[in-house]
Amino acid sequence: MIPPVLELRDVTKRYGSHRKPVWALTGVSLKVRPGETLGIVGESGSGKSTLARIAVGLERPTAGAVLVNGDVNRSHNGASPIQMVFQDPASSLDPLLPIFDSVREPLAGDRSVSAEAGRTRVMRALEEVGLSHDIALRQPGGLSGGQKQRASIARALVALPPMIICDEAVTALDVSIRAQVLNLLRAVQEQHNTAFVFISHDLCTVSYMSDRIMVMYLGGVMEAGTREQLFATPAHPYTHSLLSAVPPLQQGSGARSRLRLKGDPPSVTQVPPGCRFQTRCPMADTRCRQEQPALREIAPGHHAACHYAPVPLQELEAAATAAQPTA
Amino acid sequence: MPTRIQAIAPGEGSRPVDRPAQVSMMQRIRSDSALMLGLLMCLALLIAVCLGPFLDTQDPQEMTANVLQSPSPLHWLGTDSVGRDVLARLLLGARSSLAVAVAATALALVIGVTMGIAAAYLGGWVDWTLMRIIDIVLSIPPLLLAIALLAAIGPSTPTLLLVLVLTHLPQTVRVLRVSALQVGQRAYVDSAKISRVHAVRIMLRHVLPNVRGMVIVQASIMVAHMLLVETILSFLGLGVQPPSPSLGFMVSEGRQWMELAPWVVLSPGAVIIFSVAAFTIAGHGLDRMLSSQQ
Amino acid sequence: MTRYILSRLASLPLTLLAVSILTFSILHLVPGDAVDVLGGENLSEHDRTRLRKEFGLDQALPVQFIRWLGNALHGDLGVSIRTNRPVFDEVMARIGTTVELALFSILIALLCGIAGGALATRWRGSWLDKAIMSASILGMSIPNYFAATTFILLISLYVPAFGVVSYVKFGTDPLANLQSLLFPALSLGLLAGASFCRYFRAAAEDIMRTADFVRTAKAKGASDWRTLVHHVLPNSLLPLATVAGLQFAYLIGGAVVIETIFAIPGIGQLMIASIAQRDYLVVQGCILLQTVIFVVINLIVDLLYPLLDPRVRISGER
Repeated sequence: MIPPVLELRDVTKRYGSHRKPVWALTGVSLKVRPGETLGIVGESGSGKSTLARIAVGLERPTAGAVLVNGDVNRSHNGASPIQMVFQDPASSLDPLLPIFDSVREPLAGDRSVSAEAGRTRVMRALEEVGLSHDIALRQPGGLSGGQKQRASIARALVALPPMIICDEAVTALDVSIRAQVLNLLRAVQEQHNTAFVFISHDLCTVSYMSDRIMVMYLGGVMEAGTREQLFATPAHPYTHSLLSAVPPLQQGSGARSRLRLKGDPPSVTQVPPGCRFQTRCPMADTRCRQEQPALREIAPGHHAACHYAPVPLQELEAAATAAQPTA
Repeated sequence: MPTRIQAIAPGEGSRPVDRPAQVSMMQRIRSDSALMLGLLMCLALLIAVCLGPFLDTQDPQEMTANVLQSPSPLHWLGTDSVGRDVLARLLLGARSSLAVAVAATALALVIGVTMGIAAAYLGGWVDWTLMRIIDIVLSIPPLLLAIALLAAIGPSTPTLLLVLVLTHLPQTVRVLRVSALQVGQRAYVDSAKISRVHAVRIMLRHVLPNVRGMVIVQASIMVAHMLLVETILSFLGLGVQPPSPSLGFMVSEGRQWMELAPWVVLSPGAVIIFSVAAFTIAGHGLDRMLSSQQ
Repeated sequence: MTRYILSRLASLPLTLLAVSILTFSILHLVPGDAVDVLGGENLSEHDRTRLRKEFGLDQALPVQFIRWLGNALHGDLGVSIRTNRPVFDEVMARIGTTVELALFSILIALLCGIAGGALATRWRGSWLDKAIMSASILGMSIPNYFAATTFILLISLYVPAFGVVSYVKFGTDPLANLQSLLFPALSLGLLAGASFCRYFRAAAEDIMRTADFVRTAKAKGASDWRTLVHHVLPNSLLPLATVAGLQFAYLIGGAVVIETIFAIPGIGQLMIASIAQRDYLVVQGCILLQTVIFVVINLIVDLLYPLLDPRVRISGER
């Protein structure tokens, strides 16, 4: 049996001191198989970026295990088996290095690659992302945002890693460029059968890219399932609210009315006991406030962390309207 | 299934491909008149100090009978209390002060930048301990420390250098540490870590070049300050020892004859002020240029 | 806030300990036998042995340090070779003078700095602004001994009647005292003031450019001056306090030079004279005391932070 490229087992991450802890992640588990794309959706404070950093090895979890290709020790020809494309094109590339050098960097640890072979691989990677050869000699300063992001993608794939994590990779780009870059990522996946973790706060972009989607809120997983499952039969109230924010054109299954959540998003320093989502859920009751719902399987491959999951949309809407009579 | 995307035509994104994003450095320097002034002053100083002693002037050590003469065609700035040509001594003294200041700055920067970057990158207890030590060293007024050490060990040029470096290290480390921390947060450093680049290589390849602006600013400001401190120490007799001329000591010697021959005191003073101001103005200008780049 | 105060106070003993180690080791950096240093040359062998025992110089260095520290805490810093009086007495007799000079200088520095900076900010961009900023750079480039020397020269040439009065204690004759300290304080204060001027201008400009409350005040019709005094000034006190603490260090060092030039009987002059006389125990005592003063002043400034920055008070922690 081929091990998953990436597996997180009950990963928890705490920042800050014992007295004032900040729980960025609590008990998150996931598996990504080779060639698969997992999408992670969440607002700021959901822990998605922390998850990315732990997956890629930049930080260690406070508790839990991270396995890459079934192994705790990660190695792929001297580099990390998981590469990353970052959000900000401007700070993703060293402003003083020509693009060529930046893209070549992941190959530095691989002794089997000669200078000539390395050069070929860099040029091939640049071609694949659609950057012409003369761009290789320039510094990032003269490039546009889209070009810089392409260079970052070239860097990510030059060592042919089994997995690439994209942390808000298209968020900083102009909308018109986003589609091009997304298509590029899909082309890369088809060409190399790379596994992807695609992180964004935008459900549309995530669903465009992903086979399976995980919805996160305040450091925990609220719902996880295939794209079809989440769109057709969303189970968690939070997922419902995210979907209701998607413009009708994208859904193709009839218009939904906008589901308004009450209250303000809580901060990561004040996670409420019981269900994380209680402060904004229209259906929250005493049980929700006391007992934290476990992530349980409500259908094959479909998990949700809610006492009342699967929650039908009508029930949720009714509860929301009832809570706001003047809305 | 197409495996390549066509090369992007110009016009992608918000900026055409060919337009450079930055104005050239010379243009930026020229647009800041204060910076130009500072750099020109530094240049003038360096030229005067390097070439001056070779020009056909009087011997700085030759003691003549023309004591305390006012400026004349023979002695452009007059003579001092033992008949030595003031101008010649001035040029030599300026050269030695500048040499000491520049050497001490170079040393302090090499050590301080290394420590600052290392502290920022390694973090943890290394950083904490270093900061505590710096706090302690900074609790002692630097001039007191300098005087005490020179008095105890005995004034000599190596001790002078040691003392100057020691008193300026803490501030250098602090400033560079902050800059290195900022650079360390950037995504390209994370990317290098992911690519398993060795820590030292990251510091040399990514952090150091990207803090070079701050290093240059610090260099300029430090030279100015070291000049000031060096002349104070030589005023007290703790600097470069006689018979080598030094600017501070010339002021000290000339004080007795101040009313008779004010130029003996005023000319070294003017040179000191000019030199310190040159590097200070240049340093401030460079700092402005650096901040506008961010 | 209590946590902050406690943590600042907790670092005090460690700093003082480190300072005292440094001061103690100064004597031992002197080349040559410490006995010669302490007792002068031409000692008989008998005298040497006696001195060694008396000063405990035959014991290990850490032991010597503990002994010295113990004595120091009791106020026993040894005896001056020059005057045969206890070092502690010599030093304490002069401390008031130096503190007075330092306070006078800081006062001048703050006045000049804030006034200059305020004027420059009020008319920023104008010739006045440029003139004040140029003057401040000039001020930062003048060595204190040169300023002092120039003052003396100018007075003797143009106002001989005023004269450089020799020092008189405050108790004896307040007016003469202030007159005698005026130019020394100016030599130190104007130069520090130049630094303050720049910092204040930079801080004020930053606040005026970015702070919301400045825009509100202006929208309400407040004049530039009012905005400056009532809003900008209190908020810039914090960075100014930081700089003031730093400048105080330079002031203490500079006082050494100024006291020597103007013949003011303060700790600095004592230190220089003792160096010349090789009276190293006195030198140690001077450095120790001056450093203690500096550390204490810094602590006071740090403890004043919460008062200056209302955010610290309200949030309760730093």
